Order: sequence, then structure tokens, then C-alpha cells
Amino acid sequence: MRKKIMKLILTCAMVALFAEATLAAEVILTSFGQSPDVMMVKVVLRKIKIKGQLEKLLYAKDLGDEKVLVTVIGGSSKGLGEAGIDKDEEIERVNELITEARKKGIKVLVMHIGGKGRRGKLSDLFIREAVPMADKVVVVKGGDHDGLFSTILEGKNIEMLSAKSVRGTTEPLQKILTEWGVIK
Amino acid sequence: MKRNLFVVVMIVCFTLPLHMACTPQSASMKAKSGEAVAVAPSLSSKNGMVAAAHPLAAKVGAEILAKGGNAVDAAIAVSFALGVVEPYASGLGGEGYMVASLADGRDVAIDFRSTAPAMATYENFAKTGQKYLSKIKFSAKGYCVAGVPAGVGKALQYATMPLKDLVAPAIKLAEEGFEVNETFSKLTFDKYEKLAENAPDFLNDGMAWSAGDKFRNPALAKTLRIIAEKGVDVFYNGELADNLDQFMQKNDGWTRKADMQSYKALDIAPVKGTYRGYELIVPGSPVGGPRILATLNILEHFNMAVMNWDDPLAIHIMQEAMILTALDQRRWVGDPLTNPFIPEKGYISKDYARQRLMRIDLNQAADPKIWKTERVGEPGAYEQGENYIDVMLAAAKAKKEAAALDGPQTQVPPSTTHFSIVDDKGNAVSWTQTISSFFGTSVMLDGYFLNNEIGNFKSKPVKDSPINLEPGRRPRTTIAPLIIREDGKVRWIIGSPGGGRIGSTVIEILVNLIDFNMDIEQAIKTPKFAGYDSYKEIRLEDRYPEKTISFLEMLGHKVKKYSYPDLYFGGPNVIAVSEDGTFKGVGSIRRLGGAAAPN
Repeated sequence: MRKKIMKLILTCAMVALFAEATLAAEVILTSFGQSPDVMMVKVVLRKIKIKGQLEKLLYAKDLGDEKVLVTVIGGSSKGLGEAGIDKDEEIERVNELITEARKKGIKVLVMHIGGKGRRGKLSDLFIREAVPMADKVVVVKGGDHDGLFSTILEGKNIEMLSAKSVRGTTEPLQKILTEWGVIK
Repeated sequence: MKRNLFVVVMIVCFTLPLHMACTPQSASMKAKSGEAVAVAPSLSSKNGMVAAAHPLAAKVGAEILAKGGNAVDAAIAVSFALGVVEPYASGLGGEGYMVASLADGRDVAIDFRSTAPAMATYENFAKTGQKYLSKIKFSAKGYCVAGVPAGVGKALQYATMPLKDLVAPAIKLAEEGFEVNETFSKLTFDKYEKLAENAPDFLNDGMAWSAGDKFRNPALAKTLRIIAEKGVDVFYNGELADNLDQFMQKNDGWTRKADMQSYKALDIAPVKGTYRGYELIVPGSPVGGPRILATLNILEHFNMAVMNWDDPLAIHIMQEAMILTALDQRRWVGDPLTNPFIPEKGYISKDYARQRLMRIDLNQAADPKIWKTERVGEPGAYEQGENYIDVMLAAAKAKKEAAALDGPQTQVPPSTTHFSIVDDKGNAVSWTQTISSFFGTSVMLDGYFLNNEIGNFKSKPVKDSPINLEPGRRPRTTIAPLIIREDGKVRWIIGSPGGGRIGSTVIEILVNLIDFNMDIEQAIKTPKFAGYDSYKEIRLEDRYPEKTISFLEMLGHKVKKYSYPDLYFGGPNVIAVSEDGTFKGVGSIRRLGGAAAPN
């Protein structure tokens, strides 16, 4: 009986480990604009037990059999400088990446978590590029203060979910990732 | 009937004195609950005024004024409060400078700049294996001995209220918390990587703070409580110094308790100058006051008033003047206590300005390639009040070659905070404090961030440089809190954060006020450009007309645009005093600042 229980525990542990390992490959994250915001989304995912793989400079060729590509928008001149690319190269990278993801049937989630403070010429440029290509969009309060996201999404079949704060993105993320079969 | 009359009389007799006693008391209750003050982005009042980078800090200052405190009392309370509500810009672990014009006629200043600790030597730096001091800026080694608590200690001599009453509002804010605003949120997002690495406890459960979140800092409240109970000396000689010592030893930092114990804030005479008849009271070396005067001395020779803020010729003249004075500042300005010769008198002399203005070519911009080799001046020749004709004739005779610049490329604080205060008694305070970079080292101790002023020294020793790294030396920075008087009366109290943009932003505000006849709100809101020798181009907010920009480019300026309004160009918090004694306070539009006044 004791052996049976031990076996059961071990099996459960293996299943759990396997499940995590599988999940680890299912969500891949990248930044659009090279701000550190994408790191926070990784932390949020960890809180809902999803191990996202983060590649700040993810290229189309790097995509594998992931289920979801999360693109976190946040323009940072400093970040772009450190990454050694300019804004045009960044736009080209993400455009190719999302195009490739769509070809492969990878769902594309675009997130903007920095609120009003993470708006401005550079970020707005990236928002205008990425949002129309998304399957779904998550925006933290303040990010759409002037209706930029809403205007871009007008007439498009792309759902925009809102969150009160970065911490509050757990809820829409859980909903979306459940819908997309990442969370079962 | 008689009985009824007796009762009425008795009621009146008892309640009348009670009512009379209640009137002032209710006012005092109002002050406690915050109802006795008005807070707004811009405000007018005759009862005193506070303008600060955060409305909550401005409110704290106004409440102190409402309770009968003077401008210095309010300044101390605002200094502590800003450390709570803007932990990214200043605080106990930082430094600064206060300039005040007191009602009794005295002009005073307190230098509470940080100092390099004893272990901050080039020998020890070499052991880190790093080439540049900027590489250790975000570690415990980046810290220079903080001056804010000692500065407050010195300021108490002009105050009327006990320290504990002035710290109390900051303790309350830290304990009860406050709503995070957009500036707070943006900066924690920008610095997320460093904060996650060095100060994870500061974050919101591992995340940056979003606007609307409630931020509390119980650790800082505890530290402030210790200071309130034991005095500022506890920071340098008591348990807070012990905490710092242990922290530094554990984290391989350079500062020790002995450094803390030897730190002194300085009572110092402010430096004075004039611009078109206005008297300016500014802090001296090693901060940005002298450069403001030197620049205005040059501009005084041009009829700026016939131009406008967006006139390319006005921008060109100001840009060229600001580059010349920045080059001189870099070469000659440093800590007067640890440098044998700082030619400050020559630098701010009107005659030296005449020589310097001759270097401005109205037809074209000076080539940045020759700035450091051919455009640095020799202000030392004017140190004894010499006349420019004599100096220049003598120089021509001697065929003296222009001195070459040693080229120190120091970092300047991009963060910082400034506040201005005036009371109805005639005291005015201009106070700037900083932790250098936003969040300083990003290392947090006892609820406050440690400054990273070490980055303002040269990475390797250069002969005669005033900013070589030396134990006990105050690094040079650009901060410049100032007071302007007209006919002996305080007219404006001005200052700004913004690193290398502080000088240009303050100068532009002054020219807007004095030459272009703007009111302070306009003067602050008008787009800004940065004239500084670290930038090879004119950096400006994108509200300048395209024609202006094209003209500047025609003159040979390279132009780099920033979205208007950009925090990069500083966050001035300014007060104007009109002839009828009305104070107008304006908080920075670029940082969501506020003004507050007793009702």
C-alpha cells in the first residue's frame, strides 16, 4: 500500500514536472522597443505558473512550435542603444516576427503595461505597428488614455482587455492563455 | 420667566467664551486635516507659497506655513516629504544646496553636497578592474557621504519649529502611503532592471509601480521616526550610521562610519550677480550657480528683448553663450575646499564676459570639434577685477596661447528635485536636492536610496582637474537654486532638476521672464532647449517652429528633437512675487509638480 502511494506521488511529480516543461516552450516573449517592461510580464506569467521564454531580440527564424508569442511594447532609446539597433530595425524585426508567427499559427498577444508614462513618440510608433497585427491586446490603465489603442482597433476583430496595473494583468493573461489552450 | 432668562444668560455666558476660543483652534484643526491649504498646479496667494515637484510635498510645506512656521520650517518639512513621495529623485541618502533670503536682511546658503569617502581613491578603484567610475555607479561603491540630514541640521538654525514637527508629515506619508502618479510609475518602469537587481523590496511584488497603486514605505517611516526622536546626528554618529557601515562592509562599499562622522554641511555665503538690474543670489562652486551668472553676463550684451523665445537668433546666441560657460565650468569649477585655485570671481566677472562674447559668431555655430581645444577661456586673469581691455592687450602682447581643456567628461545628475518657498514674513528659500541618477545607486537602505555621486568625479586623474577623485572632496554638479531680487525685494525663486539641462532651463526661464516679459507660467511652459557641452547638437522640445529649426541648421547647428513636454528638460518649480505682495507658485508641468498655499 505504502509503495503504491509512493508510486502515485512520484507519478504526480513527474506529470507536474513534464507539464511545466511543456508549458515552458509554449509561451515566448519579446520586447517591442527594448524597454525592460517585458521582464515584468515574465514575472506575471511566473505568478500564474507559466514559464515564458524571454528573448529581448527574438527574430522570425528563432520561432519554433510555441503556442503564443507575447510582444510587450515599450519604447526606450536607451534600450535600443544597448541592443545596438535603431527604431526602424526594431520595427522590421517585430513585423517579420509577427508575420512568421501568424504563418505558423502561433497566437500573437500584444501587451502595453506601462500606462500613460510609457507613451510618447517612440512607443506610439511601435503601438501603431504591432496592435493591428495582434490576436488580442492587453493594455494597463492609462495606456489608452487618449484612445490610441481603441482607435487602431476600431472595426477590427481584435479584443482589447484592460488591467488596472501590471499586477492586475494576471487576470486577462489567465483568461487569454486558457482560451488559447496554454492553461488547461 | 425669570428662570428662563437665567438659563439663557448662563448658556450665553458659558458658550460665548467657548466659541471665541474655538475659532483659532478650528483653524488649527483645519491645518491638521489639510483643509487650511490650497493645492493646484499653479496658484496665487498672499499667505505664502510652496512650489515643489510633487503636490503632496508642496501641501506639506503649505501646512507648515499655515501652522505659523516660516519658509525654512516649510523647506525642511518639504525636503523630508519629497524623500518619501519622490524616492527616485532625492532623500536622506542624497545631497543638495539651499539658498535663502531672510526677512531680517541676511542672505544665507547651506552647502550639503556629498563628499567622497576615505576609501574612494584611484588605487582602490583600480582594484575593481573597471575603467570608468560609471561602471560602479550602481553599486554600494557609487555612494558618497550623504548631506541632506546635515543640511537640514544646519537649516534648523533659521527655523522656528522643532525637528520632530517638521519630520512628522513625512512619517505620516511613508506610513499611510499615497497614490503613485505617472512620473513615479514611469521612472520605476524605466529603472526596473536595476531595481529588480538592487532593491527588489522597493518594487510592487516584483513589478514596477503603476499609476494609481498605493505606495507605502514603512522602513523609511521607521528611519524618519529615529531622526525625529534623536536628531539628524543619529544619521552620522548613531544607529543609522552603524547600519550604513554594516551595509557597506557586507556589500563591498567604500563608506564607513568614520566617513559619516567627519561629514559637515557648510554655512556659506551665496554668490551674487546681476542681470539687467535684477540681483541674483546663487550657490557658488562646485555647483551651477556661477555658470548661470557667467551666461547672463554674456547675454546682457545682446538686446534679447527685441527677439522672442522662438527666434533662431536668440536661440543661437543663448546656445553659443551656454556652450562657452559650460566649457569654462568643466575646466575650472570644482570644490573650493579641496582645490588650490577655483577662479570663480573671474568666471562671473562682467569684464570676462565681454571677452567671452567676442567668441560668439552671429553667422555660424562653433564647431563642436574645437570646443574643448580652442574655446575654453582663462577666467583666472579676471580674478582681481581686471578690465577686459588690459587683459586682452596683455595677452596679445604675450601671444599667449589659449589653454587646452583637460576634457573631463563627468556625469551630471539627471534626476534631482527643486522646490521654492516664500512665507508672508518675507523669508524666501530656494532648495535643490538630489541622489544623482534617478534612484541613485538603486541600492536601498533603511527605506532610502543611496546616491551615486561618485560618477561626477573623473575616472582617471587628470593634471589640475578640479574633479579628480579625492577623499573628502565634493563632486561638481549642475544644480542651481536661486533667488532673484528687484529693487531689494524678492521677485522670483527658481530652480530645476534636469542634469546637464538645469543651467539652460533656468537661464531660459530668466530670459523669458526678464527679456521676453512672460509671466512664470508661460516662462515654464515655453519649450526648452539644452545648451551644454556634453551635447554636440541643440536638443530641443518639438514645439519650436520648423522655420526656427531650419534657420538653426543653416547656422550649422545640429538639432535633436524631443516630444513636448519632456521631463528631460527639467522640472522647475517656481514662485513669483508681484508688487502688491501676491505670490504665484507654479509646479513643473514636465514632472506633475504642484503649488500649495495656506488659505
